Amino acid sequence: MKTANYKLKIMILLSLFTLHFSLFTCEANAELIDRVVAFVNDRAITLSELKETYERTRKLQPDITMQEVLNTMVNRLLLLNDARRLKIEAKTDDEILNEYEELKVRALVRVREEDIESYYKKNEKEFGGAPYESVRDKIETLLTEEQTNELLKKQIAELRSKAYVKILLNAPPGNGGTGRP
Amino acid sequence: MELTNRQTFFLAFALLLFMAVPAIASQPIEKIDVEGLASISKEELLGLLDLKVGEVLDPLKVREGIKRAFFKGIFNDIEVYANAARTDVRIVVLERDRIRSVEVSGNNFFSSREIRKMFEFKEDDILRYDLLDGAVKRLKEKLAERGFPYAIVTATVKNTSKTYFKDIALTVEEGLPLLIKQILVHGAPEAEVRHIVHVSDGDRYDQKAVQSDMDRISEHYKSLGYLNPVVSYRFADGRLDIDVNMGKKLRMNFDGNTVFSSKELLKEMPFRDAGAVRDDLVEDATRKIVSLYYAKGYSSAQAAPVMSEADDTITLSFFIFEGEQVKVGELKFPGMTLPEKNLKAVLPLKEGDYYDPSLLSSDVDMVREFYVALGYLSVVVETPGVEIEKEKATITIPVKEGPKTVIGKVEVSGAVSVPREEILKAARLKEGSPYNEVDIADARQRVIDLYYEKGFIDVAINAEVKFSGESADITFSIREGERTFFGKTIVTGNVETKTVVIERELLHKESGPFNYNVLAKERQRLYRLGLFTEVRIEPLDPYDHKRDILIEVTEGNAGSVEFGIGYNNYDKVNGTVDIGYKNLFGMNRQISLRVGYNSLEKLYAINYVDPWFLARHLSFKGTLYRNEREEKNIDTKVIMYRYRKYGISLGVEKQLTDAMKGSLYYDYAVSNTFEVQPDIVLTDRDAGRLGISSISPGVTYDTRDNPFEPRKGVLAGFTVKLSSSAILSQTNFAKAVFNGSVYQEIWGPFVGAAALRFGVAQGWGHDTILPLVERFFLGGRNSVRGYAQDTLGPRGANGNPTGGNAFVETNLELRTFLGKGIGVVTFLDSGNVWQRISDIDGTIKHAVGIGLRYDTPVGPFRLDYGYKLKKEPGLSRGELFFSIGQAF
Repeated sequence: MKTANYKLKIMILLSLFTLHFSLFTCEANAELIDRVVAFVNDRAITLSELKETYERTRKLQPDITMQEVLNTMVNRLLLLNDARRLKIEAKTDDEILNEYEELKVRALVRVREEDIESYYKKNEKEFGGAPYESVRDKIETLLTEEQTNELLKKQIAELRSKAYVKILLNAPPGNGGTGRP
Repeated sequence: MELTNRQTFFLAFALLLFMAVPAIASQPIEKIDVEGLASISKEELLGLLDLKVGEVLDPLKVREGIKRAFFKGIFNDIEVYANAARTDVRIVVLERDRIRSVEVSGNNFFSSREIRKMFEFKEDDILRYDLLDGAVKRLKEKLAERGFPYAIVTATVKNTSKTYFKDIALTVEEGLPLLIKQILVHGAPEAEVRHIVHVSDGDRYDQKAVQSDMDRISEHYKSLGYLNPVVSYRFADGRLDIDVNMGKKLRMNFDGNTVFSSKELLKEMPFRDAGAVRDDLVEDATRKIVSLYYAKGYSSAQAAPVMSEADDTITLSFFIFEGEQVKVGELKFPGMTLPEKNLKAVLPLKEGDYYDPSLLSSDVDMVREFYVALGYLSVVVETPGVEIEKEKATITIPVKEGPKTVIGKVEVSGAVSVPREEILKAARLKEGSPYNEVDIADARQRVIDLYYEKGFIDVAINAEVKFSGESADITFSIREGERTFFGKTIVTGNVETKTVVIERELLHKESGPFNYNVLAKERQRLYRLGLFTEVRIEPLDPYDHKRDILIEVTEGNAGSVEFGIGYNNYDKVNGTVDIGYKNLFGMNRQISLRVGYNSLEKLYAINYVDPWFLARHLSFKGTLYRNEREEKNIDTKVIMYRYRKYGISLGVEKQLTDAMKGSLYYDYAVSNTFEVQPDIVLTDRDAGRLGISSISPGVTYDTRDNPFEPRKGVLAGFTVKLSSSAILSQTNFAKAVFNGSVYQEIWGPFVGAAALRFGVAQGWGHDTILPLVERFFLGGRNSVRGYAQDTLGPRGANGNPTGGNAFVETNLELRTFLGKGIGVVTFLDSGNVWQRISDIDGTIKHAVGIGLRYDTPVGPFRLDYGYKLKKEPGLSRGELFFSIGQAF
């Protein structure tokens, strides 16, 4: 029994040594440091960037998937590329996007008085009988945001149709999701 | 000692930890393997990824590197792996497929070339699989537009032997064409329209051809005076309906014009281009007519438009009152204490010129600016007065100068990284100089440039001015901001050209201070290579105080075929053909074949140029040539000698400064001289076969503003040619030639040009006189005009010029540019040739002359007549020359 126990211990030690060498020296178990998970024309999004953004976003939206985060990153790149084309400059990407949104999207938003009135009439119950004047500005803000989002979506769809966009997140390594036949 | 289980595991983990720590801790990279790379070198990829053996692998740098390398536009994926110790790195790249060729088959009507032109996918482009179906669809649409609506098009991608290169097999079956069975014309006489159009009944319904016909109809009616004819067409069931709406016709009359013809005035009218007659256009036309008269000094000219409309015709008449032509008599500036000369030189209105009243307000503004520039900040320029008497206008511009402000103290605040002295030196503002805002703005810009040069691209500089009495103290208040450096450089778009060809032209270095001006210079240098039709240089987003530079180039056609034709009255018609390629091996090496023919010479030459020989900024030039030539005594028409020469010339040239170039050449030439007139034989080397091996060092200095038509600058050169039996030459000599030309604008259309050339040579050993093919000759279209080609200097017994070992030549020209590309030149040429250096005496022959010049794209066409100042027996009094290009 003693010998068996001793043998077991020796085996454990040996297997741990083997594990050590296989983990830290064996080429076959090479670790992926980084790779491309998507690109928009010549701008790449790497796996490490995606993981970082995913972790950050998950703290705010726990249900979000990695695919959704990547999609948002691609859209952001599309808009940033267009902003660069228009020579919009700012210190941070967020500032560039804000300025781009002001110029290319918000400048086109038009909320007409009759739209506000029509929205009020349709949803009068929800306002609990509050007079039109007291909720008018709130409705205008709401409709402005709706139109802004709609225009932004259209803008992204248009930019996407013109750009070379590839999502390689689920492509096996070494294939690059080329879409080759 | 017995180990318990717990102790065993503890020991094992402790041991593992001990062994793992050095493994996980960052160790330098020992090996980097790259897989799947084809388009660029491993070194370029590793440079972009910023990965190096001996450095520690940093995942953040890997991320930046992948993103950077992606800008090359050639990758689909880059994966970076490492072993646990991170000593062995493996990079797997997958490049984007490119199109090697587009093969067209099945086409009957259109040529394969036409179909390739219509197809959006081109050779060498990235193969966008996602766009292929769309491209096929659009090709079908184009074929339908050209009359083949039933065309069947398929595209298949085929593998090739070259990695990442694919062929596209395009099958195009055009099918039956759609035919025009009948053409009907509406709104215009059918016979007239049918006469203009090219399509006819039975033709294929080619919308491109039909649209060209519509444009033709529209142009026809415009030429008949219709302002805006509208032509359209419809096609259905084989019937082509052409609808023409001719619109209104414009008739224009000018009355009272004598200075300008009606044709000249009509050219200035905007109505035909606008396709309409509107009130605003009539006003523009009226103003234009008046301004034409003003510019010629008709200061009281007036034009009145009258418009009438009847049926389909608009009649527009301009009644013109021209008045008298007036010149500027005198410009007066009452109240001015400064010298008037400098002010008058900058004013648009000049004494003696035509008086154009529209320039008067510019004059007033200019007087104000002149004073402000000199520090008179509160100057008052009053309303000018104009008195016209006897066709002369006296213009009075009263001035109240006010006090003069000068620059007081100049100080700097907020500068940390750049010494105060350096900033003040860059600003170039002197205490006591006149103060004006323009100078201060310029000085501020110079300080900004100084900061930019050092990488402070966010620098903010404010020039604060404090006035005290009549002086202004200036403080440059500086917020330096962060310093930015150059990061990596990414070159993309070069398919044929090697990246190193672009990189070696770059002036910036990685980690050097970032500077936009350097990028602008680099752009110019890349354009100058002649390889690219477009060069875009873009600094990428900043990171870690660095900015990577993206250089995108579009390659042009590197091959060229050039034809040249010229004429001069010695060689007669000259013809040359050059076939060249300027991107051999993608290294900007140039090779060309030149064939030149004229009545006296046949030349075949292969030229090779490597602008970066041995990877240095040193130009290597090699020429292999065969030349057959006969030299003729132009006076007697006798052939003096003929020669056939084979040779090779190899050498290097180095740009020493912007203007100075050094060169060193080795030449070996075997010449066979025959049919030599006996009286010009001075040595036994003058006839027969002679091998000359020589070395020629030289230097040239060139500051001319335009090599074809210099107006200022200097061109000078000094070359020595050494030939010796020590380098396997059959003859020994040394010869030195100097040439220098100076060009200077004298005044207005006059340019002065002066040239001095001289050469001396001495042989040794067997001969002291140079062999015939190496001797100096003077006279001719680019030498001493007045003497025919090569006829100056010593002559043989039969009167044939022998040439000699020494010469001197000077040329003086006054070039007058008359406008419209025409010029007149007067010249004095002098010079002589002596058989030996010891023969040199003061005997110089002179010729004066006059010439005409007419600008052409290859230099001015030249007609010169030179007149010998002293007529010599048996020689003409003068000579006439035709050629292209200035004499010197």
